[in-house]
Amino acid sequence: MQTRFAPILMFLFAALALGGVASADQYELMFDNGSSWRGDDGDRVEVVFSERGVSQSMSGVVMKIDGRPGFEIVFVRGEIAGKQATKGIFAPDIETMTTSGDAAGGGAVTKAVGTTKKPDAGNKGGSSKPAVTTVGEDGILESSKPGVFFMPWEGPVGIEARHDEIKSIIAEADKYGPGQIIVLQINSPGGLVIEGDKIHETLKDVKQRHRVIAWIKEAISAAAFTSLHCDEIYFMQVGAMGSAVMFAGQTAISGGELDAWLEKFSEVAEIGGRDPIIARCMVTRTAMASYDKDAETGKVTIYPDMRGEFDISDDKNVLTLNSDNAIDCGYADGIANTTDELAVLLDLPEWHEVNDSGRRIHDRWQRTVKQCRDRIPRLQAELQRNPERAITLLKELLGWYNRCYPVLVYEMGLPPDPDPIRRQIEEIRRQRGNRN
Amino acid sequence: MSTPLRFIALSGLLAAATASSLAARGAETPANAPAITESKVPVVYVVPMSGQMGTDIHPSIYDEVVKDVMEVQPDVIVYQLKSADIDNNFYLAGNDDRREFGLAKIGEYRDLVRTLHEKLDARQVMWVEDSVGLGSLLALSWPEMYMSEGARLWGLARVSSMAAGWSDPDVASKMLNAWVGMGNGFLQIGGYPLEIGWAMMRPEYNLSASFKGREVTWANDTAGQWVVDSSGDNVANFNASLAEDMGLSQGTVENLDDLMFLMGYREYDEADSGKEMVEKYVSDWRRTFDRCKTWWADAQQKMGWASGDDAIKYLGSAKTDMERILRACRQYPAVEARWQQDYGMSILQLELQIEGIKDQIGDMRRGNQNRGRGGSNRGRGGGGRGL
Repeated sequence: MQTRFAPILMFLFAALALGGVASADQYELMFDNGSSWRGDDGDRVEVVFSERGVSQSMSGVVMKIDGRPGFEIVFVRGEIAGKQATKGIFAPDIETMTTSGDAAGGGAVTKAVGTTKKPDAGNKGGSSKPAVTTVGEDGILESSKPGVFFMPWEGPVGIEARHDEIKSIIAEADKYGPGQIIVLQINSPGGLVIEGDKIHETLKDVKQRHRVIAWIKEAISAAAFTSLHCDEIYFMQVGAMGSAVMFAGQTAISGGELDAWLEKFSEVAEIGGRDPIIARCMVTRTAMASYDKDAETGKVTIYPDMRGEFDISDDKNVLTLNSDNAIDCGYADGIANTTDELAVLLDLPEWHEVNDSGRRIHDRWQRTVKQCRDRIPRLQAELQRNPERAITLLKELLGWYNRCYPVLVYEMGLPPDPDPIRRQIEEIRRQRGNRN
Repeated sequence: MSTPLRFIALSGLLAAATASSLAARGAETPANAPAITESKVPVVYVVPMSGQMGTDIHPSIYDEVVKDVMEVQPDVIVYQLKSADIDNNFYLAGNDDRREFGLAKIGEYRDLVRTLHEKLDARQVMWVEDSVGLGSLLALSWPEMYMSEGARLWGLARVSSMAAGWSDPDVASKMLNAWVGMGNGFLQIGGYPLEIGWAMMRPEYNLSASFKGREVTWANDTAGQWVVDSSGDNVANFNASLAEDMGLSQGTVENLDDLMFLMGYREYDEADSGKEMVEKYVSDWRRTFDRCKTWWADAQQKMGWASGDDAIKYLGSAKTDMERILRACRQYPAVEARWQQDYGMSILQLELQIEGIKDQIGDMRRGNQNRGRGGSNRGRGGGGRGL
């Protein structure tokens, strides 16, 4: 008998493990970064999670865990903004979750953490020793080797390329004190004006204490606006920057709105130490720019018309710069196709990333966007197929508002305010209550 | 792995080289050619880029090619480009599918070009057998370019057409210049001046060239010594002889032997694994796509039959057909692109359809079980009435 039962038991154990549930009340969650948590309802936990791309932490008691494997919602009751409340946290957003008193989770880290550089596709290796990060007496971190905080910034501005990620990499650099080098590798076709406003304030502020670099593959429109804030701009040879006409629907802004945008764009160019005349050509078709270049000194004189020897933009075209003309007119500081080449231009002995936080910040948000794009259409289909699960599915949709608002609202066209969804849930509950 | 191919009939080759318009240049040893005294026979790795941009010429296959090149470590890499989107693709036996027109994604090709430039450490040469359309951006991404007799370097009006459809002049100019700027990125990595790109992508731009010694200066006007394009309605295009005369192409060649000779290699070994990989990829994805069409028709038919007692059986079979299509789309981005184009269905939509069928099957099974249970209840009920 025992022998005959063994395979069945093994199958059951396997099924339980795959389902992420250890027993009726015990759960096992696997997180994207490879860590895991096992525990029961009622456990006191410390959770570090990402919300809208920003890392947060919370401690409290696990009330319940809902949802299908891979998309569980962990309900934790604890203190939020000074009040006791229950928060639903999506498992894919959780970075670490430890039961309070866990040997692994307990105790503060007091020692330095070793870091190694992570070469990208452009870095053809290197034989240098890994750098070590130490904590100074003042609590400021210090890397044993000069390096950069590198972050890819890709996709539509406001959806994939956001202000939040820029803030996060700045926060990471801040841990190492002022004077850090932040490199944003920009590859974006542009996007939302509202995001540009937030970026403007943040970059203006960070430039006071760090050196901010734009490394451009594609910086169109709002991405050009972002790049122009930076202290230095380097192009990849394939790079393009410009075409920052602001428009709504089919029509470009005009009149006072255009004047204000021109002024802001000019201001941004000046913040970055660049001539505003050229920047204005990116904003409107009728602005012009040309320049003369002193053959001996290389000094560039820019004109707001076509009198210069070299044309930048006539009055029929919105300007997009490529590497050649960007360098020649002094708008870009150099061309780097690889991180090694960029290191030379940045005056670093070699390419070294202080840590991989920028890549992780980028990857985490890109993953969330991808999950959202994949999940929402399925959720809508499930809602149609299984109206009896409407409450659970609508609650999940509400959760996605919290996790990935820009994709839902700006890309998928869902209403900006999720309140009607809450009301719908209540309505369904009431109807079901009446039926019973 | 490599198939040796040497100059056996050197006299024949020389005759061919003489016949080509660049024979005189070919007789000289190019400055960047290796020293002839080297004892090692150079290995050339040919990377075909043949067929439709967006499907046959797709970045996904070149990831594998790059790995292979890194293993082979050739001395020379030749990109053999033959892509004329507007034409009958006579070189693809039996395939003349205009529906693939416009499936190329410019950003993916930009990344491909960067990868090939940065990862591969060998002399890289572009050989244009023919190029009309976005393929010409690839052609202009390498500074050392050769063209076949009669080859065209045409069709970059395609780039500006991507920005069509905007009525507001500022927005239209924004879109146009954004696309042209991205297109010009290819020419920049190839070392070609922006003026050529503007003239090749924008009909209203002229193009002329002036010569000072061997140096060519390009301008978007008709004031140069040699006017390439004086029309305000058409983009500038180059054929092999014009490209060579203007210094864009280093020479006109008939075949690989000819090309290698012009490059200064009198003999070479050819590593043909890349050719095999790319050719296999093209025939595989096309065959798979044909199968998908059959699977789809089968699935539709089975869904039509799915009623009565056989409903679950036919739905299950239709689901299997659709899962095959899904797997094919996942395996080949070219199939995915064509599937989207022809059937209007993304991978996600396919998945949703499959999930819908699964639900339908589940419902039917539950219905059957309920009917079964109902039967037994009725039986028990019958027994009750017998009391």
